Amino acid sequence: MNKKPQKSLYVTITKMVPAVLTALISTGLGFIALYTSPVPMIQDFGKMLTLGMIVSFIVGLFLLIPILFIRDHHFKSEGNKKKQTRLKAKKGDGFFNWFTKHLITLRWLIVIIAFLSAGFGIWADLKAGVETDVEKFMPQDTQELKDIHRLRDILGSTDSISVVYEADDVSSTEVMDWADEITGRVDREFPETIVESRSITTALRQMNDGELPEPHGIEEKLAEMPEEQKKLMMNEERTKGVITISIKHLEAEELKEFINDLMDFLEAKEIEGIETTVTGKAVLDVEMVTALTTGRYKMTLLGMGLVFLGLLIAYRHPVKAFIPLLPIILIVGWSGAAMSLLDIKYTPLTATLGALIIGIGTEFTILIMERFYEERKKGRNSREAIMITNRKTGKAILASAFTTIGGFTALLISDFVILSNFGLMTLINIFLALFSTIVVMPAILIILDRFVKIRHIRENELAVN
Amino acid sequence: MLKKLISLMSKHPVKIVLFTVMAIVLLAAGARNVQMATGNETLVSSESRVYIDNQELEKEFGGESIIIVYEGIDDKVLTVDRLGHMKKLETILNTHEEVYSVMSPVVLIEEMSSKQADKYKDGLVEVSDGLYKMGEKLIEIGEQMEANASEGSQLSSVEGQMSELNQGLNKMVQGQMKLKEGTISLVNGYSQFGSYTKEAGLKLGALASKYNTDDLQAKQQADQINKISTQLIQLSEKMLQGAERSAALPNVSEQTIKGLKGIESGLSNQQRQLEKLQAEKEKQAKDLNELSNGLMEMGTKLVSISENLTTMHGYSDTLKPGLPEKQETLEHMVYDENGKKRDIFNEVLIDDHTMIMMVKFNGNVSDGVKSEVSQTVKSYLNENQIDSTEMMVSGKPVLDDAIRSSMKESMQKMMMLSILFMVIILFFSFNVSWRLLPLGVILIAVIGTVGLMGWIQIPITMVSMAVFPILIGLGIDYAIQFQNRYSEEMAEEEGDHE
Repeated sequence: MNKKPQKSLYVTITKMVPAVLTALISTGLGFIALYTSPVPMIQDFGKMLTLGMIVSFIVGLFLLIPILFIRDHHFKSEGNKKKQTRLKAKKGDGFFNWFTKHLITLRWLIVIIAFLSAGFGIWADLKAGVETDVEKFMPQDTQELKDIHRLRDILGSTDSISVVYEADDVSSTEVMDWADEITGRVDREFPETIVESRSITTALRQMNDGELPEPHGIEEKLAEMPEEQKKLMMNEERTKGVITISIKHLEAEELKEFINDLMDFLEAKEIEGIETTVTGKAVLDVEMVTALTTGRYKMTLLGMGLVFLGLLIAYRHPVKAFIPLLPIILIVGWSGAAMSLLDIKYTPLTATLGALIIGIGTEFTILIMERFYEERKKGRNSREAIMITNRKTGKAILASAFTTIGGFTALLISDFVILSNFGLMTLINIFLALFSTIVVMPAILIILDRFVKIRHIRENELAVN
Repeated sequence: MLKKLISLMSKHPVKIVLFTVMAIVLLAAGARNVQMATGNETLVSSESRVYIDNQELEKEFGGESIIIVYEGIDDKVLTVDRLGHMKKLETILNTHEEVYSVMSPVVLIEEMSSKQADKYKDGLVEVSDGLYKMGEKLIEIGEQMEANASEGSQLSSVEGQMSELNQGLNKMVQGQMKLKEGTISLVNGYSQFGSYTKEAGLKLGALASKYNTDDLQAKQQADQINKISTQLIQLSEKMLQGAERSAALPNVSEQTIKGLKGIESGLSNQQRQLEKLQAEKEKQAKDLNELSNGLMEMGTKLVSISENLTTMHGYSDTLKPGLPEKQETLEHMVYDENGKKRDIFNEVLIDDHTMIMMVKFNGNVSDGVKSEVSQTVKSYLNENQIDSTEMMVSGKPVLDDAIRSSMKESMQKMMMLSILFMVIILFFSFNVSWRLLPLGVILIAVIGTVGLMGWIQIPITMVSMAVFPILIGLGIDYAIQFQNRYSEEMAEEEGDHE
């Protein structure tokens, strides 16, 4: 039995496990930013991703490595495959060497262009729109979607806002008069938005030839009203009533404005003893939009902050902890530029991109950086270290980036518009991550090397000597 | 730590593999509990004010609605058949506990017909009361009439007075005759006769006033009698005047007798008419009797009808309100006299060709229930098609259901594609032996993750269904990095470094 598998196992575990674990932790930290989103489905997404990554790591460690070890240790002798592998690899090595050399000479130019363009991207991103219309997320040729559009044509509206009013007795004359006035007035106040408004008084009027019954007649009419109809507008205890306002299908921003205006209107009309609440699905939607638009930057910044803190604890070196963040800032900026160029609106999914970028980006940069300092520790100068890093790790990163791209490509084909847009953006982001890792990262590493190298080199040089 | 791991892994690799596989199998078992969520709780935090308000709203006034649209393609949509169709669907829906309310033309029409039945019942009571009263009254009137008819007293007294009168007149004529014969005491005799005559006239006048003026015939008689009385009085005055002027006028008696005879014949004429009237009265009395008997019988019958109606009202469930069976009745209920749709139908009868049924769920009902109900409706509509009617079921819950089912479909498609792409990519870009191993490993990890989500109750939402391709894409990196380094070390047999 040869000892090589044993040694390979040793090297893989000692070198790769800490690196991958660091990447996992920083990815996880990036995803933690998702938990701070006020939108629960984004939180769930974050939880699921984090869990998935942890499970993937554990399965990789405890399943993949032992399987490889069992294969080589117990069953396999040396084959020709590896020689082929090495031959092929050498071809690739030549390209990587050539590529990295040019890269090093152009490092300042690369870094400047990178940051300028990212800055432009962030500026463009600030103006990006948000899409929250669930109907625009789903497959557009679904029969049910066509049906609901037809229904909207028939009824004039399928969206509604509910104004719940509370009083000691909502069937009292005062409250009835108030509800009647609001129901009638609100239509005239917002004629462009409101299709129809209904309350118990509308039904009473319908039963009474268009007039609100006299106070003593109300009770009688209420008794005559079908129970199925009455309970949609007034509760049994008569402490709450609802004015249902059917509105046109609106974009989230317009809807938000309308709801605010409506609230102001109600406040102006409020009388003592009556408390109103504006609610309904539309209000929930608006809340979500607000959460998405305001939470996005916070999420990304928090993610970065967490990654920085995590790395600071792991490396105990501010510059080393800061380096992986630079490509992330770049990717965030470029990604924003790409979105505005492709005219893709933010959705609950694309709002998570920031965190995903952190996840994907840090993994790549940390792997590159780890390898770079591993080589530096061996006493190589920064140029040589970059060459080796790009050649060795770059290959692995390419492979994993391509497989990631492969996985994400599936999203592009999804019938769900929300998913295909997201797929497109993640694909772009992976390309950007790859680009910044292989092109910009070496430049950054060399430029910032002077802040990091001193201690390590001394240690290593002492060790070599 | 790492050293321990290495030694453990090199000593018991098979055990570790088996252990990991077992752990994954255990995790995967949780996949049964995984839920797909599209509800409000995926959009807004369940602790937020907005969410709580909405929950309150749904609690009091019901949650989302399914809307079923009926469209008549070439005729008016409101037909008895279609209502029956709706009614059946409504019955099915009402068996679902989670259905809060169903609003449809059926509900309104049933409500109307039950109101009408109530009114009908009330009316019945009134009618029966009225009939009872009327019956009693009729009996009373009948009895009174009967009594009146048997009396006939007024007329007979008139008759008696008439004959008295006649006798009086006879006396007068005889007196006149006597007057003619005797001439000596002319003046005395004449004045005596005159006063007799005056008396008779006054008597007649009194008789006339006794006649019932309501009766046309009686009135005529009274008038005639009055006339005669006036004539008599005038005559008596003339006679008195003549008596004063003494016997200067020899023909006066003759004339007087003549006049008196005229009166006499007038009176007897009068008496004949009275007799005739009497006969008529008798016939009338008979008729009246018959009528009163009839009325009394009718009264008794009415009372018994009224009693029957009261019994009927007691068993009023025989008057069950229901859907009209005739198109006419139905249209009469929905449209008013001018053919205008009643306002109460505005909500459910959109126009002549379109009507809707609104099925509102209870507040905060699970997605599963919504799917179930919308499937129920869909399959009912499919199985019970009606001619020239287009039916459609829509609304937010139906749309959500569609989203969920296409989410499942989409996820399966994406998983397959992702695996396919990765096989291709790994095959070309990952130059190590057993290059597909990372993919196998990551699929196992994905299965484990899904299971874990089930165990700790994280639902799959529209956002997180993107997790699988992402997980495969990102997670495979770890496996690739491990395998890459391992293979790298394995390949470095010549040992150019280390």
